[in-house]
Amino acid sequence: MNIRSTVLTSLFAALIAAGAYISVPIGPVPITLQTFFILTAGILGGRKIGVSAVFIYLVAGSLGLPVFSGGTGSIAHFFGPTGGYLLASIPAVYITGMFSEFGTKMYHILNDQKPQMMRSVIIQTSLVTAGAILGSLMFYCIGVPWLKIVLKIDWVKAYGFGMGPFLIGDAIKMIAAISLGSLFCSRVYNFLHFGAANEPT
Amino acid sequence: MAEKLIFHYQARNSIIHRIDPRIKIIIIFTISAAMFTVNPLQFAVLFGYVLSGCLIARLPFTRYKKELRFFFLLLVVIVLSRWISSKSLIPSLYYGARFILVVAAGLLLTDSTAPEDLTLALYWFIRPFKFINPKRTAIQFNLTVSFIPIIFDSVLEIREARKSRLDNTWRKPVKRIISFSSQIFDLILQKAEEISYALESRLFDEKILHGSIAFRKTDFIVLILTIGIIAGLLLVR
Repeated sequence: MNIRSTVLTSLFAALIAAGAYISVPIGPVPITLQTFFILTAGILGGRKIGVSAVFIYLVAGSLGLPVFSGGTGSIAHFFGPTGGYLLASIPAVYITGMFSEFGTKMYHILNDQKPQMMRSVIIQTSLVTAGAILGSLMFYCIGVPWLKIVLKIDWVKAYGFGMGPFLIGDAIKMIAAISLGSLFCSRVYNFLHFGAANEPT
Repeated sequence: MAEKLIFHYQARNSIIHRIDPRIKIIIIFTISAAMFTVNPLQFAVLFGYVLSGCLIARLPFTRYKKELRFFFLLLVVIVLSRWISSKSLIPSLYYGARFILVVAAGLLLTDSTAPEDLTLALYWFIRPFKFINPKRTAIQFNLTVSFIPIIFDSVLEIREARKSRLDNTWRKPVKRIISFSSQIFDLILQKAEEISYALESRLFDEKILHGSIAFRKTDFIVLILTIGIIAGLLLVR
C-alpha cells in the first residue's frame, strides 16, 4: 500500500460513515447508504482498500464516533439487532472487491489482446455485477440470523424485519454502486497505479 | 467554498484540550457504551457530563452554527421518522437525545484533540495487533476523521452550484440522483487526489508518527472521576 492507497482507504471509510447519516428507520433495521458505499469501496478499491476502509469505519464507530446508522456510534451496536449487518460488511466488501479485481484483470488481459473490444467491457461488468450481488447477499446471510437471535423472533419475522423491506432499495443501491464504479474505475485505477489521475475516463 | 469547522481540531488552552487523548478515547468509548444501558435519569447525568465537557473545552458553538444546522435537520428527521414508525413520542425524543449525546461526544474528542495526538493515541491502542499494520491504520483513521467534513462540504458545494444554475426541480429523480452523486464523488475524489499529491510532495512517510503523548496526574483524576460516575450510575438503579 502506498500513500494514495492510504488516502483512498480513508476516503471510502469517510464515505461509508457519511452514508450512515442518510438513514430511514422502518423497524429494527434502518435503510442507510452504508451498503451503497461499502459496495462502491469494493468495486473501486478492491479487496485490500475495501476491507481496510470498512475496518477503519467499524473502529471509528465502536470508539463512539457518530458514524453508525442514524448518526450513532458505540461498541454496543455490535451486540444489537444491526450487529450482524455491521460484521457482514467485511466479507461483503471482500467478495465485491475480489470479483472487481478479477474483472479489472480480465479487462486488461482481453484489452491487450484485442483493444477496444466490447467483450472485455461486458466480461468486466458481469464480474463486477456478480460480485456486487454476492456482496449484497452477504449482508442478509449474516445480518438476518443475527437479528433473529438478538430479537428472539422466528425466521418469518426476521426476514420480514431484516430483509423484505430492503430488497428493492438494495437492488437500487447496487445498480447505483455499479454505475458509479463503471464511471470512475479507470480514474481510480490511474490514480492508484500511474498518477495520471486527471485523464478523461 | 464553505469551510467546515465541525469535527476539526480547535486549538484552545483548556483542561479538556490538555487531557491525554488515550484517556479521552477511553472516556468517549465508555460513555457511548454505557448510554445504551442506562435509564433516562441516568442518561441525563451522562448528557450533562458530556455537555459540561464541551463547555469547559470552550467549543465554538456559535461558529458551528451552519454545520450544526445540518445536524439539527438530521435530528428532526430522525425523531420524526422514529415517531411515525413507532407511534410513540417519548421514546422518539429519547432517541433524538441519544443522537445529540453521540454527536457531542464525537465533537468533544475530535475538536479538542490535535490530529497527530489522535493518531498517536489510536496507535497506542492497536499497537499489539501487528497483523493490521497499526501505524498505517492509525494514520488512515486520522485521515478518515478529516475527510468527513470535506464530504459534507462537497455535498453543500455541489448543491449550491446546482441551485445557482436553477437546477433544483425534481423531474426524472433517478437520473438526477445518479448525476448528483457522481458529481459529489468526482469532487471528493479530486480533493483526495490533491491531498495525496500534497503528502507525496512533502515526502510523507506513513512509517513515521510525529509528536508525543504523556500521561499526567490530571489525566488519572479525570479517568477515575468518569469511571466513578459511570460505575455509580450503573450500580444505582
